[in-house]
Amino acid sequence: MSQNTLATKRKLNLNLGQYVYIIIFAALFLFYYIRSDGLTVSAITNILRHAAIAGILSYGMALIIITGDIDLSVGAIMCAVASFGCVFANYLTDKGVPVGLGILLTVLFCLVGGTLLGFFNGFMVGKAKLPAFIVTLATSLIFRSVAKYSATDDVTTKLLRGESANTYAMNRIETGDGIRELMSEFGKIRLFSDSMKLPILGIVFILIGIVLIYITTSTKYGKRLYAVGSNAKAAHMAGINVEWTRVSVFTIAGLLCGIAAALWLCDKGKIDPATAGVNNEMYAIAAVVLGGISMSGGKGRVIGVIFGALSYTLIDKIIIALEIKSTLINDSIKGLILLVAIMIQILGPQVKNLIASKKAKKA
Amino acid sequence: MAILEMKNIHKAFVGVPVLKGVDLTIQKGEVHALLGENGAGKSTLMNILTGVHLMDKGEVTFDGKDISNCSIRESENYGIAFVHQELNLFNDLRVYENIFFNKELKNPIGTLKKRLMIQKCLEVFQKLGVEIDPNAMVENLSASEKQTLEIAKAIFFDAKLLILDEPTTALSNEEIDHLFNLVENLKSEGKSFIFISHKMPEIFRLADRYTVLRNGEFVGTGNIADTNAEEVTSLMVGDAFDSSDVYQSRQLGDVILETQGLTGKAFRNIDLAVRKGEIVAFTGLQGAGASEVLQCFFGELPAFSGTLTVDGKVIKHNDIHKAMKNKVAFLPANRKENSVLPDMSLLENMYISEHTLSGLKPVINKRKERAKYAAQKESLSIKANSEEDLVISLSGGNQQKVFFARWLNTEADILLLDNPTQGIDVGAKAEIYKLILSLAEAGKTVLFNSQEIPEIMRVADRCAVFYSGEIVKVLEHQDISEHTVMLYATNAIQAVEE
Repeated sequence: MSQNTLATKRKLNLNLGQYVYIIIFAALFLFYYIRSDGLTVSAITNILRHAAIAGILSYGMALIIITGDIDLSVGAIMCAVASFGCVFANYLTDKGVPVGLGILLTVLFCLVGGTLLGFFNGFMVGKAKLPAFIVTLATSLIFRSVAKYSATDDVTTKLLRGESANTYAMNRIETGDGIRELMSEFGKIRLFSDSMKLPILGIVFILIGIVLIYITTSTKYGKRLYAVGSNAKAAHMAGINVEWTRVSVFTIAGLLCGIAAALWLCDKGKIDPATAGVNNEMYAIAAVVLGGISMSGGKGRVIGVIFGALSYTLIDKIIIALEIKSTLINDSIKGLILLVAIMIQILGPQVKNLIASKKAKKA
Repeated sequence: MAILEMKNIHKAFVGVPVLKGVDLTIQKGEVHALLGENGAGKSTLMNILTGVHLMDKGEVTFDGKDISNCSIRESENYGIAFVHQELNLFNDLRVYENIFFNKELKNPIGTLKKRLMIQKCLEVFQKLGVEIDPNAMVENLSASEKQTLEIAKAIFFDAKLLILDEPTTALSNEEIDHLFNLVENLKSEGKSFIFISHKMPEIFRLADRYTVLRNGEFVGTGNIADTNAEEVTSLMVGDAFDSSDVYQSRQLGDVILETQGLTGKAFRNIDLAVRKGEIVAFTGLQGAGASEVLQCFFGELPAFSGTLTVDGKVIKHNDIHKAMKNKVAFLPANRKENSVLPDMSLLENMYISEHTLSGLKPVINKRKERAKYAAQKESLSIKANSEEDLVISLSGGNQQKVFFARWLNTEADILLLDNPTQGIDVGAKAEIYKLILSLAEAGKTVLFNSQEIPEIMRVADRCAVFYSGEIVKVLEHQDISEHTVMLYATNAIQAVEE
C-alpha cells in the first residue's frame, strides 16, 4: 500500500470516530420516525424547541470542558436567574414601568445575573485556583437553595413572587399585554409559518451554536481554550494568560445560563425552583460527551454538542411515542446511550488497533 | 578486604553499548567516589548492581558470594541499598510507616504493631544520632531529613553497602555537614559507600578512593589522597573535544540585555551584559541556577532584587506577556511538559504565541497563517506532511523546530533557549546549533542553557559558568573547553586552590 492511500485511510478511520454523534443522532431519528407514523414537519421542528434550553446550557459546559474544567452549577444558575427574573419583572410591572422597557430590563437582568454568577465561579477557579468540581458543586447548592428559600412568604411578598406558593410566576395583567403576555407571545413565534414552522427558541439555540462554532474554530480566543485544555503549563509558557482564560470561559457559560433563563421565562412565564433545571448539569455533561468532546480537555467540537443535545431530546420524544406508561424510564435510556457512545469513542480505536496489529502479525 | 567486586561488566541497550568492560572494586569500610560525566554509564552500572537491569557479560561478587544478575529484592537482602537522587519515600505516610513499608510487623490477625515499630525506629535513630520523630508525616520533613531517613531505612535493614546518588543536590551547606558526619560514623562501623557526585570539593572531603568512567569505559581508579581535582577532571573529560566547527566571530551590536545584581530564589548577584547578535551559553551542574535565570528574564520566575534591563528599558514586575512585548522569547526545557500542546496541529502549535500579542485582531486569517507556517517550515527545514497533523506525530527534533517557529513567529529579538537539544538525536542537534548560529547572524540575540560543553564550544561567543546560583566565570569563545568548564562548574578551582 502506498503512503498516500495509507494516510487517507487513517484519516477516514479518525473521522468516523469523531462523528459518532451524527450516527447516534441519525439512528435515534430514524427510530423516532418509524415509531411515530405520520410524523409532521412541525413535530420535527418542535424537537429544536424542546432541545433549546438544555442545549444552551450544554454549550457553556462544552466550552468549560474544552479548557479541562467542569461546571456543576449551570442548572442552578439558570434556575436562580429565572426565579429572580420573575421577581424583577413583577417589581417593574408593579412600579408601572412601560412594558417594552420592562421586557428589555428583565432580559438584561437575566443576562447580567447569569454573567455575574458565572464570573464568581470563574474567579474562584481561575484566580483563586480552587478545583472547579468543588467550587461549582458548592455554588450550585447555594444558588438553588437561595432561590427556593426566597420563594417563601417570609422572604418575598406574594405580589413580587407571583400567584402560587413556593414558586415564582410573572404576573398577568388584565389588559393582557403585560411583560408575561408579551414574552410568552415571543416564545410562541414560529417562522416560515406555512409548511416549515421553526420555533423561535430553536432558532436562538441554533444561532448561538453557530456563533460558538465560529468562535471556537476561527478566533484566537477559541484556540486559546483548546490550548489551555490540552496542556495548561505549555499554554502558560507560550504566553497565554491561563488564569483569565479560565475566568472568561466560566463567565461566558454564566451568560449562556442567563440566556437560557430568559428563554425559560418566554417559554413558561413561571418557574418552580425546586424542580427547574434539576440534573440539567448532568444532561449537559452527557450531551457534551455524546457530542465527542473529551472530558480531559483540549479535544472536540461545538457542533457535536448540537447533535448531543438534540439526541437527548429525541429520546424523550421516542419514549412518548412508544406510549410507555411512565416517563421515569427516560434517564436509564439516556444513560445507556451515553455508555454506548463513550464505548464507541474510547474502545473503538483500541479495537481497531488490536485488529490492525493482528493483521500485521499475520502478514 | 573487598566487599564488592564488579569485573568486566558489559551492557548494551538495543544494540548500543553503554558499558564496555567496566571494573569496580569497593573495600569494606570505605567511601568510594564513582565519577564520570552525564551519560558515562554510572547509573547503568548501579542499576546492574541493584538488579534493575541485567548485564550482558561480567561478574559481580558481593561479600564473597556471586550475585551476578540478581533481582532487586535479592540485592536488598544481600545488603545493598540504593539511596536515589529523587527519594523513594511516601510523602503521605508517617516516618515509621515508610521505614517498615511492605515489611510491617503484624499481629497474628493482621493488625499492625504500631508501638513496637515506633520503638524500633527510635532505637535506630538514637544509634545514628538522628533527631526525627517517627510519628511525623514525611511531607513535613526537610530535604536533609528525608535523605537521612532513607539512609536510616537502609541501616535498619542491615545494609552493608549504600549507594548515594548525588545526595547533596537539595541540601544546604549545614545539612551537607550533617550528612557527611553521619556517613563518617557509619564508615567507622564498617559500612561501605558508593558516592556519586559531580561536586569536587565534596568528593575530596568525603571519599577515600575513586573510580572514573568515560563513555561506558573504565578509565582509572586510585586513592583520593594521591590525586587532585585537576587530574580527576582530565580523566572524566578525556582528550579535548575536536571543535572543527562552523563558528565564526561576528560583528556584535550594542548591549541589548543587562542585569545588575539580579537575585532570585535559585540565583544570586547575576551581573551580565549581552550584546545584540551575541550567543551566550549558560552552563553548570543540574540545579546550579542557569535555567532559573533564563526563566527570570522571561518573567516566569520573580527576581527579589537587582535590575534587569532589556533594550534600554528597566523591567519591573516582569511577567511573560511583558517579556514577549519586549521581544523576548523563551523555549523552555522539558518539551513535553512545557511546550507541546498535544491535541493541536502543527499550525496551531506555531501561531498560538504570536496570537497573544495580536489579540486585538480576534479573528484568525487562515490563509496568512498557512503562508507564515510554510515560510517557517522552509527556513527551519521542518520535516512534516500536512500542517493539520498533530504536533505529537513528529520526532523530537522536528517538534523542537516547530517551537522555534512558534517563537520566531513572534518576531522576538532575544531568544532564551533552555536546554534546546534535550531528547533529540545527534543529527537534529547539529541542525539546531546551525540554526542558532544563523539566527545570530541575522541579528537575533541568543542565550541558551546547556550542559553539553562540546555543543557550547561550537556556537557560543561566551560561556557563563554557574555554580550554586552564581556565575563563577565567564569564558570567551577561545577559552571554552570541556576541562575548564568542568573545573568551574564543579568548583574544583576552589578545591585546587585549597
